Amino acid sequence: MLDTKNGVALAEEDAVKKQSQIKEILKRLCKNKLAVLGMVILLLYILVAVFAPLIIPYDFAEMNILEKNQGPSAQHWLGTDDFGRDIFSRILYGTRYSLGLGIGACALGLAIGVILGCIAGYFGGWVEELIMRFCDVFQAIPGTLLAIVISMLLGTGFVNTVIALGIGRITLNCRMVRAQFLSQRKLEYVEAAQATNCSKVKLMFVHILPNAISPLIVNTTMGIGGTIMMAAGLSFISLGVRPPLPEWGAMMSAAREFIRYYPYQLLFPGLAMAFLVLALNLFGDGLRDALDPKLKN
Amino acid sequence: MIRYVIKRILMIIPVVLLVAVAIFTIMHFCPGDPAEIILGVGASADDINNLRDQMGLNDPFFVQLGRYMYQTFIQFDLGESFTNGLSIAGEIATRFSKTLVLALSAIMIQVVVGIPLGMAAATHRGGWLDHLCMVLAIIGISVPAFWIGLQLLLLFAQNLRWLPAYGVDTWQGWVLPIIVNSLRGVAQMARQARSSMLEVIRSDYISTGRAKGLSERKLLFGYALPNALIPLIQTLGMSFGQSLGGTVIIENVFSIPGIGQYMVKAIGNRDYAVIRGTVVILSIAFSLCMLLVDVAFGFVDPRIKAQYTGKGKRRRVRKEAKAHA
Amino acid sequence: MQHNEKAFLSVRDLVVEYTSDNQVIHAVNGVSFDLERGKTLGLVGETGAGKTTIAQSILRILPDPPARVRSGEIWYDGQNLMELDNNAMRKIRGAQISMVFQDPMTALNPTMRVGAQIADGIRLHSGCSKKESLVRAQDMLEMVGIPKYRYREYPHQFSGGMKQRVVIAIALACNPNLLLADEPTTALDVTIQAQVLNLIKILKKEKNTSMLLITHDLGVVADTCDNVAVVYAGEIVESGTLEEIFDNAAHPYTLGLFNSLPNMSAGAERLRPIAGMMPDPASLPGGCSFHPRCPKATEACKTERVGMHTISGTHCCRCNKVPVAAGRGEGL
Repeated sequence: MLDTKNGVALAEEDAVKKQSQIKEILKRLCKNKLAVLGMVILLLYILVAVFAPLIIPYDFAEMNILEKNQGPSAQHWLGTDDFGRDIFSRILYGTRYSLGLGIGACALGLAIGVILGCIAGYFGGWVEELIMRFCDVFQAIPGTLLAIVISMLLGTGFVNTVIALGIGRITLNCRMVRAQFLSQRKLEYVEAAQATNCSKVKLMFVHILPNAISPLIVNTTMGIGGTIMMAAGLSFISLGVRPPLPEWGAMMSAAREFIRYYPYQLLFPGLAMAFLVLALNLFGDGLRDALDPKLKN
Repeated sequence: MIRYVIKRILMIIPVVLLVAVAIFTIMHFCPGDPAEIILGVGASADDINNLRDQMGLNDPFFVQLGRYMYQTFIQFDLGESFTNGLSIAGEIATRFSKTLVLALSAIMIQVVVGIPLGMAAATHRGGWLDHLCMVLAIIGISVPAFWIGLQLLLLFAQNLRWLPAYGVDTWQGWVLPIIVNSLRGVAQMARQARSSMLEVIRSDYISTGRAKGLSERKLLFGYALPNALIPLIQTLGMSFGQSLGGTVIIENVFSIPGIGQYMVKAIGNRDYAVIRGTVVILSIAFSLCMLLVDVAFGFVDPRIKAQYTGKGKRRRVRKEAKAHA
Repeated sequence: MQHNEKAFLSVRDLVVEYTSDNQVIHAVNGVSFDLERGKTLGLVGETGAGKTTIAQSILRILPDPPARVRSGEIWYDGQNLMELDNNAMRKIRGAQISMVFQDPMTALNPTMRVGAQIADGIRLHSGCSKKESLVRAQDMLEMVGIPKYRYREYPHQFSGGMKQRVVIAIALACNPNLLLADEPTTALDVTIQAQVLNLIKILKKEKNTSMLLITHDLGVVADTCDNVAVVYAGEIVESGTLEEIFDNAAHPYTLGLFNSLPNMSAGAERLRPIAGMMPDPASLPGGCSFHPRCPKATEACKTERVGMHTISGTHCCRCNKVPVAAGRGEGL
């Protein structure tokens, strides 16, 4: 009877501690002005992405040959492209693709990577060796090239590009999780917990994974920015997401032949992307500093 | 130490082989029939099938795989391009130098510009130099390379006419591609160098040094810097890999006849043989680079060197002890 | 207040603050003590009491952005160290005053050979050649009980105890007059602890070095110190000779420290810790800083600032509840 009461009390204590930990982290995060700036900009982009169909003045695919290649004007705030499509609308709608590709690919890589890492760490032995060799092979292929190869296999399109980019992120997360297993294996408290008959699964979820969360989160957030740029790069070389879908990389690729006369067609999508990635990086930096203040000072 | 290097080289071989297997397998299942591509539209089904037989495309998967591995690693023959029938290995050989110039120059610029920037930011922590460097750095990792490349081309080649618009026949042609290719790497390196230096500066052994009466300058260059540089070796290695991938885009933007451009053309033509060959070669280059990184660690960090020499060291220490007894 | 001109080291009213995140942390709040030549003064207290800050202030190696010496004088050999410029201070560091750090695992430069780390201090202060300094470094190694030929090895090749010996070798390499030992044995096994302490004692005796020994271990104090100063929340709450403190401890905190030592012969069932925890240096309690934990505290203790009261001769105590000697001595 006494044990369960203590157990409940301990669990409650734990929950309260975690809550106050999270509050501490949020507090630290909010103190960082640059991180807050990044968050605000990011939030704006997310809102734009979510409400895009409602806020765009023109349909992103609506062509109007008479108005093609016009500079910024009152009617078309950022001008029109070679097909007379409104660039402002396309940029707004393109937020969906860039954010979607970035977040989707990183989430996919995170999920599969963590699962693989847990399997490797939990079973150890030849399973772990096999998974690690697997990671070795895929890490030997530079990221962009791997994405290109898988893109060729799956074809163009949003989902296929998410998969192509996501696969490249698996090894990173897998190694990180497995490294946590390695370092925790050596720590004394794991031996102590095992001595008290704690199940391996419980060890994994209660001790090992929570410690891995911080670096995983920071890495994933910072990775979204890089993934968005890689996605744009793929679209730039005719893989990735193809026109008429308004993905920024594809837009920039199309704008290439017109930069002599209509430089704004290249400028605006690029600026849109730069600000999004900047916001993500600022937020990611702030997150890293908030999760481990010792690193900052 | 030599033993470790040899061991590492031997370890790369299976990885490289498996990379080739992986790439071959992935490309094998890509949509599109090479024979059709070669013969073009309008070829008869018979002709296509004959060509497939000739190219060995109707054989079972493992036979094709085996043949490919044998060709690539024993005969060093990467096959012929589907589009123009030229030897892929030959093309790569002529183009490799251009890509290598881009990738290596990026590394050099990172070391020469990125590391000092990061160190300066760390030593003037909180000052205007620190803020300036970090703002520049975070912008540097946020702008897409091809976009900034095109914008700079517009500015320097078209408007100012200081630099050529494409190609690298003159040295001026190299200026923009090298700068653009290095930007992200320099920014990343500056950030890494700064955080590495900050961590080292706070170390206890720096306090020990200060308590000895050493000047701040000696502490910075003699104690902090060597330790701060060590983790940056890994960053350089990873950056090389990013650079190899990035050249695909950069060469496209600046019309440089390197491996990247070769690959992009092949993508457009669905020339799987070329893509296979180039990715395998670039992966080998990256693996060798990471091998160099590991070996460099061994030379530069005595703790890691001890790990590499392992048992050998214990024997040596006992020998030395006997000698001095 | 005048510093004691006869004392070898005389610290007066040292106040050190840390600023972090717009919070001010009062690490050291008006510390004063004297140290005579050739003697050992033990600074005793729990972690976070400010002892390391005191030692680092003497050498002026406090990390300057967060830490700041607000006020105070540190008189060494007739000079106020606080008034020296950096170059003059650098000549003193390592040569006349040196420090042994707490954690041997991190106190040595991992990428530099051990001999070189000892030698560069020697070379700096004596101006001899590189070769000569290495020879002297090897001699130092021998003196601390490490075979000479190991001077070419790196720190990771030594055990914790041997690393600490190297740290001691570095500290004593230039024959300093004053050694600041910051918990030199805390990170070591008990058996190694005894060896290292013994080594320090022998070397100290040989060279007549004065020592400021920082520790939280009363056993170590009993073994090595001539005088003791008990530190709590950045203040010295009691000071005196070894016998005075150990036999006639007066301050409730000191009494608490002694009581919390497990008494093997008495056969107690539970440990008797001091209730409560050390106060947060960012928000110290008013009045006497120990009053929240003090069994003898009264209402007055919560508001009145407490000065040092002389109990007898050299024995002083910062507490209003302790009977004082007739004729108040000069409060520190």
